[in-house]
Amino acid sequence: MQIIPAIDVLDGNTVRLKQGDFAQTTIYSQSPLALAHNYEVAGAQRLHLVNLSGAKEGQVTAEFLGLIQRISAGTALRIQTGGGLRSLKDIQATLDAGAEKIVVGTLLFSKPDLVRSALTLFGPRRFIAALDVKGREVRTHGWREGSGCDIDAACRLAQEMGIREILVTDVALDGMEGGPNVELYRGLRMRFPELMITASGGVRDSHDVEALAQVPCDAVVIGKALLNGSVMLKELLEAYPQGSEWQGIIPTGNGLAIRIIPCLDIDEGRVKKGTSFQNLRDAGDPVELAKRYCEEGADELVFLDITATAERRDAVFDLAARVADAVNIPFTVGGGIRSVEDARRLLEAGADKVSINSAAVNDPTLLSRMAEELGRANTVCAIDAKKVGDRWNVLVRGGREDTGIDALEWAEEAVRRGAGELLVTSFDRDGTGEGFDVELLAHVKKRVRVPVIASGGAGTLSSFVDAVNSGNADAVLAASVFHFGTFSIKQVKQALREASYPVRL
Amino acid sequence: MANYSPLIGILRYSAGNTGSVQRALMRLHISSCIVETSEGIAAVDGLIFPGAGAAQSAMNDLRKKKLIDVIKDYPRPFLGLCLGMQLLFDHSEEGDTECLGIIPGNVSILPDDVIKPHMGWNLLSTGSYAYFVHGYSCMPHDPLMTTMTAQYGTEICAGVRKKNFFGLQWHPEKSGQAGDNYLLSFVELCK
Repeated sequence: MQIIPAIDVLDGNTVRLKQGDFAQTTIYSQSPLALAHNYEVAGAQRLHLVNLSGAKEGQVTAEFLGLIQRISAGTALRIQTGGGLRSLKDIQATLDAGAEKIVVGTLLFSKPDLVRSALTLFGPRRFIAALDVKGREVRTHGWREGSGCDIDAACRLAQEMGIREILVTDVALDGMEGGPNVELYRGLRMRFPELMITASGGVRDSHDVEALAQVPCDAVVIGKALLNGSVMLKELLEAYPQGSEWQGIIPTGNGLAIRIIPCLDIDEGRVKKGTSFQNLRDAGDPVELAKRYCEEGADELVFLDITATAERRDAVFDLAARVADAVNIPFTVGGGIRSVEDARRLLEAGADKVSINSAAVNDPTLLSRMAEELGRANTVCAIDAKKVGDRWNVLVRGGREDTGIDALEWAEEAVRRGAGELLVTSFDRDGTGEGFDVELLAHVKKRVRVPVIASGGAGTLSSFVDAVNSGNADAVLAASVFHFGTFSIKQVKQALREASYPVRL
Repeated sequence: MANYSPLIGILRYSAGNTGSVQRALMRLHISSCIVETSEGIAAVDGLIFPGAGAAQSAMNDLRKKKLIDVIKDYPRPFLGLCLGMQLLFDHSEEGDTECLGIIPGNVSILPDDVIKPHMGWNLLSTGSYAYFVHGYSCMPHDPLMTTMTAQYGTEICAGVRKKNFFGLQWHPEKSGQAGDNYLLSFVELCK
């Protein structure tokens, strides 16, 4: 358990308030800076610095920032501080003055959006949620006002915001002689095992500290008991080794989510989808549909210009630009791309990746040149495969021509030449709803070290799970089931999550 | 003050993918303009520094455009994206490139045992998913400058800050709500 000495600062002086009441202020003779020095000499690693003037006036003054700077420059103490912070600039200035962590209390309730922005910009590790509890209710504004929020709800709110460290004070006991509310901490420890819990307030002696260590609390903030000499900091620090700090549950390996990709087959600017690339049915305007999928949680979009003819080539560049304006997720455009120049134009129009299919089979150097000039990450090779006996053949020209080329060998060559991703479609399954060809996918995955998108055959929710589970697919693509509302993207993601795969929900 | 809408500059140079950033800001109703000169940079409330491509040619172009010192001395909120974040560091392994030296640390190629580039939606330490596309990653000397991380073979630095200089390894313009939130927060700081 970390032992964190506290210094409360009012008008530049070291003080203690009784139960947060400014009328009951005790001023101590040692300055905050001198006291910080003493605490460091005693072996403290951290310091809890409370800006009472700031809390009272609702601002962070240059004087207080100067104090942080002097303590930070003059000692090795890691400072956590709060009080009076009202804006992102206050928070930034406090961090830049040398504070390691910002303690936010009232702000959590009065300006949650500001706290969210601060967490986003400065990182969650830099923040501690200070929750002052009376009974079960969290108090704000120097304990004077109720937040209307129960302590558990407040913990969940903090967690949901990304905060992992809470500092909990029982305001009825702080500065009194009743001892810390050990039961409160024990309950929180049980209900919120993933939060780092710092106890604050009410510590009278080393027995109280031991009771908190038994909870176990991760840290304890001690103020008055140090000032009046009822506990000795040096002894406490020796009794509780100040080891490395709890850093939260750090995930290991690879955090990539399985991507769910609606595919929009485009013909003359409209979305189409048929069975085995025939019998096309109209399913709407591509940009409107793209926006809808984006809002529904699609991770990526693929646009395939399936009947691109020379005269209509330019429509796809315009489409890419309009989609790029409308969505906040990446998207790939494929179909009819024959040159690096076409690909470059698509990327410039706003596409994130360009997929090539027949043109790559006809001239594999196109993949090499695209990867060289535009980057592997932007280069996708689409492979349409058909099962023939115990192997798969590569089809081109929208499935109309069997090249006789072995699909697995082609997959390997495509990656060797520079494809950063493969979009593998089973021609046999496409549009049938019978499930993905997991055998084909698993074989491709064994041969290459790039992400593979499974395509062709999406039918039931479990077929998506199979593509990932048995096919080892990194992403799953589907069209009809989404266009015609068989199920939603969210349902697919929930099915994957239930099967323990990471998804962005 | 609360209603003041800041003007965000997007720095255009050889490695900048200004289009997608500009589109994202437009979608979020944030005023922006493309800037290419020190005068243009001086006129905006905050600067976004996109990046795509190779470190070496990007630095050469900044040098040619005499923007190196302008960037180093930039006093207002500054946000480097992807390669734009990497260029804030001292040195990049990519092409053995000396970078801007604003954030102490280096940029190294991703570990051998992972697929490169790191592409896709990865979980940030903040709890959100973000869209990544990169082959190199940053290592600030001071871990406190790391604002967020992600796991990809090893723990990678996904966001960084030193004073007014912010950086993201991922693409906020392509990261759905998480990206929108970051851009809006950054703009809030530019007010």
